[in-house]
Amino acid sequence: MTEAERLDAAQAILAREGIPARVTIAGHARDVAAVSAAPEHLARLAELAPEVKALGFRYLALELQAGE
Amino acid sequence: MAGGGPTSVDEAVLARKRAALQAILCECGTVVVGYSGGVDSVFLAKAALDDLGAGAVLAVTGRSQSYPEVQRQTALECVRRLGIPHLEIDTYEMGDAAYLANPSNRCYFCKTELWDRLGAVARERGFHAVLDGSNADDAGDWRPGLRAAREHRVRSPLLEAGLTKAEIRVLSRRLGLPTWDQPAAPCLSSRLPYGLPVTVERLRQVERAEELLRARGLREFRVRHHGDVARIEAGPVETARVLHEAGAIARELSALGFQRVLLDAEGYRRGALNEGLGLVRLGGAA
Repeated sequence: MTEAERLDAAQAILAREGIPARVTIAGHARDVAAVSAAPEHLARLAELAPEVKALGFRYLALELQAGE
Repeated sequence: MAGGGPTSVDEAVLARKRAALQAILCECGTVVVGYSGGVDSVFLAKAALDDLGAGAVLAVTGRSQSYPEVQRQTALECVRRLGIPHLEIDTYEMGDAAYLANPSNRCYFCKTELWDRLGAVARERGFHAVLDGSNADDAGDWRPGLRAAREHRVRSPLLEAGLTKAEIRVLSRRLGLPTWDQPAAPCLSSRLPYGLPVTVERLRQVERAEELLRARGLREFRVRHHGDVARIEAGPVETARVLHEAGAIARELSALGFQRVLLDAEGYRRGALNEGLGLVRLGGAA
């Protein structure tokens, strides 16, 4: 699976769950799925983490925005 | 309780294990205790003091750039308060290229340096045994540092006695030790994923970031360093606080040089950076 395909698949999982979000790859090893989403979705992201990580990510994390 | 407070224990089992610990300590006679100021080593040093007397115990702290200053202060406060003979020495794992490369057995190289130097202290001062604070729970975790301990004939009385972390917390609380509910506090290099080289700059970034979060009231958490990314793992209470103060936290950590600041969806879990490693039990390949 290419990086782009992993991202698309992760994005699709969140969309399926009705979570408006953007997923990017982060980290020196490019193994972190970084999700830009509203904070109230964090608990649901935790539940979805195994499914997203199965795409080849080691971590699923919410982006904290300095401007918030 | 941030550190995972005492749960109910079987008093008879606990008494038997404490007696076993005493027997092991008495068998050792005079002991140098590898002393970081964490829950286990504080309890072990206090047990050795109680069972053997002050003349038979020396707690030794290895000081280096990977040792958090906040932990050092706890260590110093405990020996002062408890009257435990103590020595600080410098260790030089940061001069070892194998350590700096940050392989999955990084702890082996650090502990080899530590036990080399503590062994020398023991020999020079006439102590019979060098002890570490490994406990029964550590036997099932990825602990390449334990291999270094075995190679240096370092004994692990808490592990040998079968004492678990929860039981050590119970006994620590009964002794009035301030560390009884202290969260685990491994070295700063443990915040860097394997393969990301250890540098002084990265260690300072992690230490400063964790100081900032601690100042905001967080206790159970880690800041993991992923190059230009800081990934915060927080306990349930801390997660709510991080979300509430997200903007300020992101600004503060960005000012330390992190381009992105993330909050892990699954929260804090011990040994998170070992996830994905083939877990090899104690005695296996480091």
